Amino acid sequence: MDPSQSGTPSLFPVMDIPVAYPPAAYPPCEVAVAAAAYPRLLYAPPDAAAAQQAAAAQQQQQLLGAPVVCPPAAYPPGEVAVAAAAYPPQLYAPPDAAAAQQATAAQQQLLGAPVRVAYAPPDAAAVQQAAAAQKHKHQLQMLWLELRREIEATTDFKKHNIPLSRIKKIMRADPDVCAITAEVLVVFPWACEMFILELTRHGWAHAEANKRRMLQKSDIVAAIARTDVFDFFRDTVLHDDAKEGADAAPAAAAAAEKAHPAAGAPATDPLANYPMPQQ
Amino acid sequence: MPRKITLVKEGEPQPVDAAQGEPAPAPAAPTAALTEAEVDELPRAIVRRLVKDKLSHVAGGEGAEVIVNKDAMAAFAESARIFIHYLSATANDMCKESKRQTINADDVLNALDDMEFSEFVEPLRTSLQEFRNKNADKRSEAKKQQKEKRRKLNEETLPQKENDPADDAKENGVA
Repeated sequence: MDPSQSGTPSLFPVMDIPVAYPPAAYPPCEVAVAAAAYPRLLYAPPDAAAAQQAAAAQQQQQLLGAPVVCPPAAYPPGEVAVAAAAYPPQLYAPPDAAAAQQATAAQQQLLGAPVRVAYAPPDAAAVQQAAAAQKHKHQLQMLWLELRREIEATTDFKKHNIPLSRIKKIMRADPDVCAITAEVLVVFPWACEMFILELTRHGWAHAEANKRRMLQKSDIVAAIARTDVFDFFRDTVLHDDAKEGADAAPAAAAAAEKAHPAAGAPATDPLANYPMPQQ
Repeated sequence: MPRKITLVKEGEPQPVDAAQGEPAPAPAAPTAALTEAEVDELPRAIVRRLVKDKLSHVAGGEGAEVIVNKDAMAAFAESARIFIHYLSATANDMCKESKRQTINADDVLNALDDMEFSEFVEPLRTSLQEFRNKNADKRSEAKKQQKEKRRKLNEETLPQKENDPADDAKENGVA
């Protein structure tokens, strides 16, 4: 009574189907078979599962009928095990097929949905993010390059090697120069450094032309003569050469004599330059 | 005397001035001129450093070191001095043209343009901007220091105003 009472509430929603079968088709002694059939109804889709389970139940009834008749008449007690062994595969086959079908259906549903829903937006978003990342990388690279260039340009002039006191003395030598701002004092040493670098470059070019590894004053004088930018102090450097020639020994005098042809060329250049400002 | 002559030449290259300038150095004492030039010239070590750095850059591919003659070094230093004279004179002229008495950094840059050293102007401007930025930072720091000093002064003045023994005890405790 208790198991039947406990079974009824679980079977309540599907009461109509099992109620139709037991009283009409099955005897009371085989109620266990009907009870075994019910869980399948509960676990499977109603239409297809019900039909399959009905066929399985019929097969089981036939098998159960056969062994009941055979053992006492045709078979010895030792072969009852064979009949018992025959039951398990038949009993297990239908649930395997149904389970397999259900599993395949579930897998199809599960696999289909996430593929369609989950992967499409990430692809588009990923592509956009990749493009944005590349743009950012390019921008960062450009910024870094610009910063490096600026740093290189600035570091060259931050050393302040030339002392300001000397520059002040040289500037004060001019009576016209009255007042100077601090920025000017900062700019002058940088300008002097750049000037010296330019002069070394031109002088080295002249030395290379003569295939020499040693920079001499003649190289500097020649560079000054050749370059128009350095016209402003050509005369003074030549005068210094003359002074040194006068003061020095005969060897230096010989050097000065050698320098004369180099001095001759610039002598003509300033004459050519004079009429230009007059015009 | 020789400086003025050189300045006149630097200012305006005219044949008359040149003719006048030629006999002038003869009466001047050569030793005095040399000593003055040496005193006013830039320090040789720094000039040598700059020249050798540039030569290493220019002749870097060859790898061998370049020797510089002493006369060449002297010529570099003297040319730099003359450059300073010329640049200061030109900047002074620019300043006077604009009717101002104080030479400004812009005047110096314009002078470089007139002297056909336009290549120098751009890097100098960038370095000037950075220098100004640094000055601004220094000024802000100086202001902070001044504020701190004022706070200290206030702390010092407070105990002087109050003459209570309890305050004196607190001051001693703080000290």
